[in-house]
Amino acid sequence: MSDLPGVDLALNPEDLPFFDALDRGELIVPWCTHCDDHVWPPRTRCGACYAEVAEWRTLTGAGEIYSFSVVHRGEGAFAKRPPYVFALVALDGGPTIMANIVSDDVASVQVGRRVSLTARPAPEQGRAGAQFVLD
Amino acid sequence: MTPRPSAYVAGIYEHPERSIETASLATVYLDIVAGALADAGLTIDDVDGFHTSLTPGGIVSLADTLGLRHARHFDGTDLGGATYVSSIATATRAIAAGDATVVLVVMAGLPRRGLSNRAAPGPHAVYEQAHGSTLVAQYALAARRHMAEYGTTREDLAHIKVASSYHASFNPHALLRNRVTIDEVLEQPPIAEPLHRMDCCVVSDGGGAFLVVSDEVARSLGKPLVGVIGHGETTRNGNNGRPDLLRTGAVETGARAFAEAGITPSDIDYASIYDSFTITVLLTLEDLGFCAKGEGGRFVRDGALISPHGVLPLNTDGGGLSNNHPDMRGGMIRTIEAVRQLRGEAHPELQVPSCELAVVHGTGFSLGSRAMSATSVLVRES
Repeated sequence: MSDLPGVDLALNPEDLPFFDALDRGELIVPWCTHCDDHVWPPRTRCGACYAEVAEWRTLTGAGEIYSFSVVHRGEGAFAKRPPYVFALVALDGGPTIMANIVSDDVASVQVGRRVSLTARPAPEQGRAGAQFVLD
Repeated sequence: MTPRPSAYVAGIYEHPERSIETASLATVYLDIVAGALADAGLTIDDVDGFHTSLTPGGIVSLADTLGLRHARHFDGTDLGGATYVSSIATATRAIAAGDATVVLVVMAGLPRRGLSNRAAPGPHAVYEQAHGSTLVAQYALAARRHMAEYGTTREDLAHIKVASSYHASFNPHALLRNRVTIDEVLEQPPIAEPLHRMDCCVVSDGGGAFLVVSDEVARSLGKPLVGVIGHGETTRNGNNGRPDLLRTGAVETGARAFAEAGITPSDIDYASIYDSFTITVLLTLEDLGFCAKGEGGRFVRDGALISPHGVLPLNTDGGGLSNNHPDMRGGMIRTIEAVRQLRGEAHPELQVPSCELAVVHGTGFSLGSRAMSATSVLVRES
């Protein structure tokens, strides 16, 4: 389950800090200081007050599984690979984000389970996403 | 007491083929429009309003292909599978405003040959692609969350496919005409758990068309009158990273459409609900108010959706799950089957007796991330 592929992504400037941080093992999100709230997915203005985003905050990388799917028919870079866990993870103090759960014990992946971001090396090709392990 | 309709859905046509191997997309469009005009008894020169969605060359190219000469109202909006349900209302408003009297709404696609009309990926796509997101996987997130929250089971979802396959067995044009059992649905291979193969709609070529016409035109056609009396549309999105996968936009669109029509869900005789996946139907039934939130799994059991004796006859052509899903957009064929039921032209075994009120609901894009919802209420006028 741990061998997830790098993906060729058409990243915009506002996407880079999030993906670069994942390669360092960190989870950062843009923050609207006016609303004191995260902005997700990353944009250059807050969708609520339209103030420009001037700050990124580092979260703990801990959260819980809001929902998940064991995907048997991946597409693109994920095609023809063993089943993998695609999930929505509700981050502590932050947004609910799309992610992967990396586990050799898929049966233990459940809605509500606590998870933590796992450090991983930058992929040799393309970019990689947020990978979590069960606590 | 329902309000007087501002417009009527007249000529309807569903392309009979499900796999089109050689004909061009232009030919498919022309055949569909010819069919809809013939059903209404109108000609292309009667058409003064034109709706389609994404199409090669855009709406101007298609208007040229179809030989439209007198159109003065156009709409080429892309609302995914909700598009053509939305068109019912947009065309009705154009007619009420005096901008048109006969609005042609048409769609076609050849996805089995790779010719499907889809928007380019938006800025959110990178956060999905990075994690191996697929459309099925996104709907699977909604299904899994519903199961965790309310105890809904794969067997509950299977009842939706079983009803669809029973209805399709009467439809000579349906892509899948074999009746399946709960066990057969459960035994299918997983695509994105908890959704397995038969939880997913078919991929088919073809398309369809309908006409929305003024009161004066409708009464000149000699067909049963199907009036438009209620509508609602909205979007649901990621809500700044606070998604709610348990509630769709149908909560609002259904409430608005039923209120405008002056009815409640219990007045509905027949429902056409876009069934991109089994979970799409379950969530929509709850959100339109046919049962309480969380009760969808229990509501769909025991033949509730099977016509004519079920509590809520649904998708009597076999729906996208078994009959037809052209261009991977459901709103058109759902609308056409609702008009058949209200006219009394559904298959005799599946015709709802005295069918007077129908609801049509289209869901566009993805209930796992961001989605469009459109609801229309149609009435048979005696």
